[in-house]
Amino acid sequence: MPNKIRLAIIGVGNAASALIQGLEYYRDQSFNKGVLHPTFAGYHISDIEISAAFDISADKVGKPLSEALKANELKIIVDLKNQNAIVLMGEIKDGVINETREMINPSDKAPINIAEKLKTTNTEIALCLLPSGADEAVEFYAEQALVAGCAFINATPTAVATNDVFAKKYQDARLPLIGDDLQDQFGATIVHKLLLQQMVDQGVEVKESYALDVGGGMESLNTIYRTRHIKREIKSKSVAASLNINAPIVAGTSDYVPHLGNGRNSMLWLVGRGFLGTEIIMDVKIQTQDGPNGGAILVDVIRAAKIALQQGTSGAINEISCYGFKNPPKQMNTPKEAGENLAKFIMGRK
Amino acid sequence: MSNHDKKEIRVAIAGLGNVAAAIVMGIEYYKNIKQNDMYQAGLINASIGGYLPSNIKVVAAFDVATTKIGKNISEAIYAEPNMCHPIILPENMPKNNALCYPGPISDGCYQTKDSKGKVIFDTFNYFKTYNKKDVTPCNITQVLTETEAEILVNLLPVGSYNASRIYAQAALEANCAFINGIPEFIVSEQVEGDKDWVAEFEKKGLPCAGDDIKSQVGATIMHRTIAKVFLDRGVIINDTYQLNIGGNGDFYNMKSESRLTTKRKSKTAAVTSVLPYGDKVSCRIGPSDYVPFLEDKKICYIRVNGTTFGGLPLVCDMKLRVEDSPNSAGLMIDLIRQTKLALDRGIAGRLESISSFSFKHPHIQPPSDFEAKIWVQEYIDGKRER
Repeated sequence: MPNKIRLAIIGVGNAASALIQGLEYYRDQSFNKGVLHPTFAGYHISDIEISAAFDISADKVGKPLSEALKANELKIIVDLKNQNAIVLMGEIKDGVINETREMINPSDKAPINIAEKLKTTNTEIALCLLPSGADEAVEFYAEQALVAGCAFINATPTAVATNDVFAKKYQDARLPLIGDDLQDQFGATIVHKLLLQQMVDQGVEVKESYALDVGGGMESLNTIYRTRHIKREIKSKSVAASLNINAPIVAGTSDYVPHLGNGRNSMLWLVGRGFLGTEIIMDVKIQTQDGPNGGAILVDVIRAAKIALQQGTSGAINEISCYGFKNPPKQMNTPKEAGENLAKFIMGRK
Repeated sequence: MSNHDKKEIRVAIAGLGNVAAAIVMGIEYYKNIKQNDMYQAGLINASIGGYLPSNIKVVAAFDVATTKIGKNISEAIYAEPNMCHPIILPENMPKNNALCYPGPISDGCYQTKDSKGKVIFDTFNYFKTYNKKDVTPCNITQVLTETEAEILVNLLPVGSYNASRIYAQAALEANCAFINGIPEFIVSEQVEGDKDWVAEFEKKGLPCAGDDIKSQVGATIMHRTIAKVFLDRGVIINDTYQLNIGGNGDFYNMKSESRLTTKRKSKTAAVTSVLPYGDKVSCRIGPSDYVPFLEDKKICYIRVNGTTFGGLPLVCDMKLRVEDSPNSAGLMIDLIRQTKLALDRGIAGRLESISSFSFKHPHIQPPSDFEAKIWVQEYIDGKRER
C-alpha cells in the first residue's frame, strides 16, 4: 500500500480523538491552519490510515471509531464516516486505578491477541496513548509491537525509548522506537522554556519560576493520583536541561479540576533580576485544550516514523524523539535545534 | 490563677509551627497597642472586651521537632522547619520562660510510598520528628495544669485525626477551653464513631471554637465574597475553582491526596454554602501544590465562570499573594481573646458567632461574612450569648 501510513492506536481517548479528527479536518489539502507541516517528507496528514484501535472501556470496545470517540470529553467537530475501524478489547494490566475506574468503565470482554491483530491489519506503526503511569500496560504493548514488527511511538511518560532494554530490542529487531512523553504543540512547557530562554538571552538572571497546570480530563486525574512526582521530574528536568539555569524551577500538574473537562489552565510565574538587580516579573496564564494540543506534533512524528521505517533506521531515534517529546533519550538544547535535526534526519543526513 | 494578672490570658499551643510562630511574634509586634487604637495595620480588633494582644501569654507549647522541644518558645519558633516571615527578628524577641514540650507522636506525621515501596514523602523527616527511643513524650494534661493554661489552641498538621483528639481530651482534663485551628471536625460536627466533644466541653463548663481557621484575607474569604457578589447581582455561577500553592510545611504535608479529604470538604463547603444552589455548582478547591521556593508565601488562583443577562458568559479571574501563617495568626489573636470572654462570662460549649466568622467549617455557615461580623460584635458586646 504505497503512500499510506498504517497506524494502530492504543488508547482511544481524547488525544486519539483529536488525531483522528485531524485526519478528516485536514483532508482538504488546501486547508492548513493549526498544523506545523500539512505535508511532511512527502506525506500529507490524510495519508495516515487507522489500521486498528485498542481500548478497554465498555463505552468504546466493539464500536466503530466514529461512535467510540463520542465517549470522550473532546467534542466531535468533523464528519467521521470514513473512520470505521472497530475498537478492539486490549489488555487492562495497570491501565485502571480505583480513582479512574468509574470514568473508564472497563469492559469485561476477553482481550484479543494484539501482536496478531497488528500483523493481520498490516500495521506499520503502533502509537501508545495510554494513561500516564500505566507502566505495565505500556511495556506490554511495546513488546507486542516488537513481536508484530511495528515501529512504536510512546506518548506516555513511561520509560520506553529512554529504557535501554527496549532501545536494544528495537535496534536488534531493526525497528524504530520513539518517545517518551509527548510534548504539546503550544503548552506551558514550551512557552515556559521560551520565556526563560529570552530572559537568559537578554542577560536577565532568573531567580525563581514555576509553570503549574490544572486540567479536568482522565489524564489529570491519573497524574494527581499516581504519576505526579514522575511527571514533575520529567518536566522540571526538561525545562532546566534546555537552559543553563541555576534557580529553583517547578513545573508540572498541580490539581484535578473536573469541570475543565479536556481544558487545561497553566499558570506561569517568572522572576528575574535585570540591570542594577531590578526585579522583573512575568505572570502568564495559558488556556488550552489537551487532546488537540498533542495532535499537530503527533501527525509529524507519525510521518517521521514512516520515514525511519523506509530508511531502515532502528532503535531509539533521538532526532524524532527530541522534536516531539519531553523526555527523549538525549535532550537537545533548543526546540529550534531539535527541528533542524529532524529536518536533516528526514533528508537522510544524520 | 489568682497569682496572675487579672487581664492575662494563658494560652497553650499544640503544634509550634509557622502559625504559632506568627502568633508569638504578633503579640510582641502589637505590644504597644492601646484600648482605643483604631485601624492598626493587620489587626481586626485592637481591644476585645478590654483585652489587648499584649494580654495574651503563651505559657506552653507542644511539638515533635527535635529542633524545638526543650527550648524556650521565644527561641523555638525560629527553629527548622519553621519559616514564618520574621515579623520580629530573633535578636529582638524577648525571652520568656515558657517551654516547648515533646508531644506524643501520633498521626501528625506520615510516610507515603510509591508502588515499588520507595518513600516519596516523609513528614517524620520534614518535621524533624524525635526518635521514640530517645524522648519520652510529656503528659499533656499535667503540663496544661502546671502552667495554668486556660486555653489550648490546636495547630497540628492537616490530617491529624488522632493527635487532635489526644489534645482535645487533655484540654478537657485540664479544664482548658479549646480552639481547633485545623480541618478536623471536632467542634463543628460529630464525626461518626467519635465522641460528642461539644457536649463534653459543655459538661465541664468549657467553651470551644472551630474548625479549620480562616485567614484574614485569604482564598476562602475572597472566594466567598466573589460568590456572594455574583449571587446578589443575579449572575449564576456555573463552575469555579480555587487553586492554592505554597512552600511551607502545611503544603508539604498536604502533598498526600489521602490526607486532604476533610480539608477539601471544609474549604469547598465554605464557598458553596454561600449559594442556595451550591450543590449544583462544579467546584474544585484545594491545596493544589507544593512549590518549595515560595516558602511561607501562598499564592491562590480563583476562577469563577458565570452566566449573566441574556445568557451571556461572565468570567472572574483572580490571583492573591500573601504570607500564609501571619494571615491565620491575625484571626487567632482575636479568637484567643474572644474565647477568654466566654471563660470570664461562664459560657460553655460551642461559641457559634466566632466559629462562624473565623473558621472555614463552623457548625453554622453564616449567610455572609458581613453578617457573621455583626454576630461577633454582638457577642463581644454581650448582646449575644455565644
